[in-house]
Amino acid sequence: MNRQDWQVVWRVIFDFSKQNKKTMLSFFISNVLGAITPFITVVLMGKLLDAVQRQEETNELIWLALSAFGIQFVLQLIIYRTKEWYNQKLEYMKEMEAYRLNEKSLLMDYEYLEDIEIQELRLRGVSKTYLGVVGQTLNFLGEVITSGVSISVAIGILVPMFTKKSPPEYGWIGSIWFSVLLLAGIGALVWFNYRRSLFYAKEEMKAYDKISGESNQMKYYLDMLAGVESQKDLRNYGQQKIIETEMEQLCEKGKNGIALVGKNLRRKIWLGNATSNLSGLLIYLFTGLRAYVGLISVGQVVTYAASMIQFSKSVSTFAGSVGWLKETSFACRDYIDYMDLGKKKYEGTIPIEKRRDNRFLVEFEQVSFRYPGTQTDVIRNLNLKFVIGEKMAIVGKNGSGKTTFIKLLCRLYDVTEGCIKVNGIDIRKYNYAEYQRLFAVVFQDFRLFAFSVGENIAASKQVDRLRAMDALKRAGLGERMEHLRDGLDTFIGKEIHTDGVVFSGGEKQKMAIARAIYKDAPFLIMDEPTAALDPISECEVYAGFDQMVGKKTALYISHRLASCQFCEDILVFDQGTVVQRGSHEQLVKEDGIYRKLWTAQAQYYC
Amino acid sequence: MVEFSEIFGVEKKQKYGMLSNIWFHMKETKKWDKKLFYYQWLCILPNVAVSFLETLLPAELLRGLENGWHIKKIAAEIIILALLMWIFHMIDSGMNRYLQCEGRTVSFHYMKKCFHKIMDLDYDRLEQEQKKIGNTWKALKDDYNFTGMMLSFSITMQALLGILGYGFLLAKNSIWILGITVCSLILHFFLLLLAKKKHRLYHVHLSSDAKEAAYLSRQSMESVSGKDIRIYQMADWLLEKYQDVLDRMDKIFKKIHNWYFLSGLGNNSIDLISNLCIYSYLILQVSSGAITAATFVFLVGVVRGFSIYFNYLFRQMITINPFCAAIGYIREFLEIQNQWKQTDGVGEAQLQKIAENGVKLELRNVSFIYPGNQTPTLDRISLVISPGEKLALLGLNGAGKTTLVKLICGFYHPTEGEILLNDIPIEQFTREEYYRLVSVLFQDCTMLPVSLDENLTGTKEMEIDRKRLSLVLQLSGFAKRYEQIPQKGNALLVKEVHKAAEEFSGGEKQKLIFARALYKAAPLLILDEPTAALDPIAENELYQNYGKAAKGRTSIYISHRLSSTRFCDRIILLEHGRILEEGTHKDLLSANTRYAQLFIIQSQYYKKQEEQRKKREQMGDELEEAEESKLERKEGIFDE
Repeated sequence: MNRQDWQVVWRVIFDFSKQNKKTMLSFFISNVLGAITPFITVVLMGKLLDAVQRQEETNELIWLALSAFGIQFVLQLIIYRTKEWYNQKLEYMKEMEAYRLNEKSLLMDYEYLEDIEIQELRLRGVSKTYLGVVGQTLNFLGEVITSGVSISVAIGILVPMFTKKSPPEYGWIGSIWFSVLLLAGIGALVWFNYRRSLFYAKEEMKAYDKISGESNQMKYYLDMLAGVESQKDLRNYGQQKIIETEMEQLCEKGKNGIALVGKNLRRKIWLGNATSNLSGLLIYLFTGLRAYVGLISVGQVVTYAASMIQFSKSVSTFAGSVGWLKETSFACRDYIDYMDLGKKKYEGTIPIEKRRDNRFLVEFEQVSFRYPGTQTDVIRNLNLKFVIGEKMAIVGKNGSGKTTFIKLLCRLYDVTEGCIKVNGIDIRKYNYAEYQRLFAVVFQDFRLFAFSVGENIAASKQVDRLRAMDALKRAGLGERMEHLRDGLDTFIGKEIHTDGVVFSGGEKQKMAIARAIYKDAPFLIMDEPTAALDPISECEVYAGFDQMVGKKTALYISHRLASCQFCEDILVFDQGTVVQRGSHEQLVKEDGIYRKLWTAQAQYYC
Repeated sequence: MVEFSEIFGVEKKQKYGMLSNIWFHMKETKKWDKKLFYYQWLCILPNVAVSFLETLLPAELLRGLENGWHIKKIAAEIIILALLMWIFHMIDSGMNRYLQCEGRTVSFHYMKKCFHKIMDLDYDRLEQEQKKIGNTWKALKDDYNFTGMMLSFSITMQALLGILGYGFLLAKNSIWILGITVCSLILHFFLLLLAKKKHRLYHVHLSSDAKEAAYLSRQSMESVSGKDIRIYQMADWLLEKYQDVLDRMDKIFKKIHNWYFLSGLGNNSIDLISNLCIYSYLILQVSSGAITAATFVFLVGVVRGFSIYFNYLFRQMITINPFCAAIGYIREFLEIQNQWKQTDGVGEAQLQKIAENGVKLELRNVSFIYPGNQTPTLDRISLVISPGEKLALLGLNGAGKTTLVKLICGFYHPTEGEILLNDIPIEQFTREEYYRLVSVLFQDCTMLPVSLDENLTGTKEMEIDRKRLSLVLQLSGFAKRYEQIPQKGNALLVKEVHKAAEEFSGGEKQKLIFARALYKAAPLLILDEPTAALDPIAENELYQNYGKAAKGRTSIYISHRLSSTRFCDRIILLEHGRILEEGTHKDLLSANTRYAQLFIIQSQYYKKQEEQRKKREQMGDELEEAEESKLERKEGIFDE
């Protein structure tokens, strides 16, 4: 553990304790007291034996025992209470930690969500640790504290043995130098053990890292085979053989890797055992000698020997848990790196101009965009001007940049070059939250959440029930809603609530549309809403769309050209820029992509 | 990801008992790694020996001092005892770590077994046994189940031996102390059991909360949800939901741990009383001179050792359960039987013949009812597809198309009727033989984390038919993308496994799997919605190439887009599990059919435009309004 390691551990604990003061206090108390209590009987035994030797009254002895056990009882009681307070939180520590991570994920820039490395940062921290990063850190820190306190208590008890001045007649056995020699010997052993065990821990980790690729791959197969869907391809294309030979290799490599881990683990443990046993032996010999010459009493022999053994065990635990803590500190670093991800986006403060007529002028000026980490422009040199308040459609081939265009407009991404202006002002200068109020988007891969219909429509816990029903009706779900026993409180899907209702693709589509209506934004965007629907459902959605859009501005993206032609203004995208623009009648006359797309489809229907 | 540390849903009693599972696991570990098996037994004695020596050492020292032994004798005894302790300690911890670390590889053994099993299971069994599979997979995922089982066994045996040994020593010295200790330990056990019982009682309520928490965490970091969350500003809502979950969890855990505290309180009091009793007794004995100080120390150590092993035993009795359950689930899964009849197959010669002559597929009165359903999904379907025919299978969502495909693939077995391939009932083929004859493109495709070529061809590099591969790449339209990849076919797939993996968009993936379906030289080709993610031009290209690609093969093309029917020889329209209409495009369109209705719905916009264009050329723009109203009337018809 170097300074940086301690720093990250400290940060994680500090972050957690800000909101969990009582838990942290319980944690400290239970660990500290837990280290102290075992010494009570150790001291008691010595005192009892000495008292017996002094031939004291039996009553006195029993009182001694009674008071010792009384103290133990009280301490133990405090330990039980604080420990259970702590355990109560530890049980769902992983979930508590996830709250903070979720908060971060929900509010971070969108582009981070599509960045696999950022995703891994979060997942790695969680998957490396069984109790979560915070839980694991606390656990090992607890061990460090307990063994640390135990070491110091043991030293406290042992001090008299070393410092007690002995008359010179005891010779070298009683001399202070003998004690120092013993201490030095044990110290050297402990230090050696500590260094070596850190070294082995490092080797162990290296061995683990070596097979991380293999274990990843195995995990992938494991997840893949659990699903029914993957099994169809598997059977039909005879992929079983590939998987089985791959698995054979993976297991072989994994086994070798784990053997290497085990080798280092055992060396670490053996060394720890050897040093603690050797120091135990030295201590016994030392105290035995001193007792033999009569320097210390029989009772003290018992107390000192037991304390020393406790001491060397604690040292071994200490070294071990520091090693584990070091390992956990990597997860801590991931956690902190994730939590510290900055906002890349510039967020302005200008409020959006409120306009009754909901007419906004949007301008794209020399806009180019490429996804972070890629070379090619998805949008290139796009110049475009349009007024929100007109119906528009976007068509184009796969990968021509249609969806990216929407993402830029909604500021899920910021442009790489150029700028986008609304009412003449760069959109980056607007207040972000307010700017997003302008848009209601139904993405191709929209998502409804496994909560009630009402909350989904309102995107909030507070549902304006009248408005929600109205939105659903306008999206064409009025009748369906009437048939639902729980109405707006019906849960969507069975993923969380077993009494939820599984809606069809078309119905979900309409719900997503209802959510857009409920938002009541001036600008409505629909991205490929009918790709997975059959002709009848498709027709229904079109009809619903027409109805709901009403006077609202809409932008419509589709592969099905027929569905776009009610738009007055059609933008044709190709290779990241607008190549044609106009009404259907104009475009179909021009020799261009639009006509190609149109005839490719229309030929089958004439 | 952030899954709650879940014990399996203990709804039903498992088939196998604890001992049986322990034995099974032991046999399996022996198969995988003999050392693991022997170490489980060999580490029992050394562990108890260490504990005993630890108790003996201080007592012996005192005894030597009390009896006034020579210093050399004392030293020699201490050194010998310490040396013995050290040796046993090394053996014990070495074996223990071996079980702990290398023991994890037993999961590889089980994984291999389960992978083999699941890939060999009949598809319909797979769907029926989802729950079993879920539990098995949960067991496989946590390799601690396997090491835990071995460690639990050893610790239990150590505890039993320790209890016997220490119990014997106690009984020899004082029945009294043994009695008190056993009483207090049993009380401990009951208190712990009570707390555990409460734990399990409340724990049941947690699983839904845990699921919800995991769900919310997943959603918060998925990019698909991320778009909607940002546009509709749902972060607060979802966080509130999450906080509710945490509050509910806290309440439950508070209850559980209050019980633990109470149990602890009880234990503490029992400890106080029993300690006082034991120590008073010993003090009386030692002060009256009945026992020596050395015996006193020794007996205290024995009591300690005895209770430690007793506690081990209790703890194991509780912790071994989930491990046993895990093994039990795996066993039950491995025992699932296949239903596809085991036949000798039809033989290589017959397969050759079929490959040469083409496939004739016949469905005779085929009905299919999903298990647990009342109404048939497919109802008495009879159909003959002759060699080389291109059939289009149409139907709305939920008409039974996918089920029909699964039946033809042999994934399901008809509830009634039979399916014949070249007049041979398909049950007579072995599964491997049958899959060689059928090539299917499913909408949901699986990519393996191996090279692109391997994914495309299903064979290792040397066996790839390069000519065939480049041909199918051309036909599928994937060739252009393939050439763009620097490593070409050697590029690895699946980003989760290989960092530098090549990624494809939805449309590209669809072309890829089309190429794969074509590469496989099966005489029967089935395509399920192969163009859903393609743009019109790519879609059109696929249509154009389809004839060439399917040449000489019998093929079935499934879609809900009617344009796809134009290049097929015959159209089957499926509705509510029955064949509603059948014929060529022309035949069906000329009559008043459902097909014609659907066709008009899909084509109206295109038609309208085309007609308008023609009419406008002739007469000008006045027509538009009239045309519009006509269209509305048309739509009205279909709304009914």
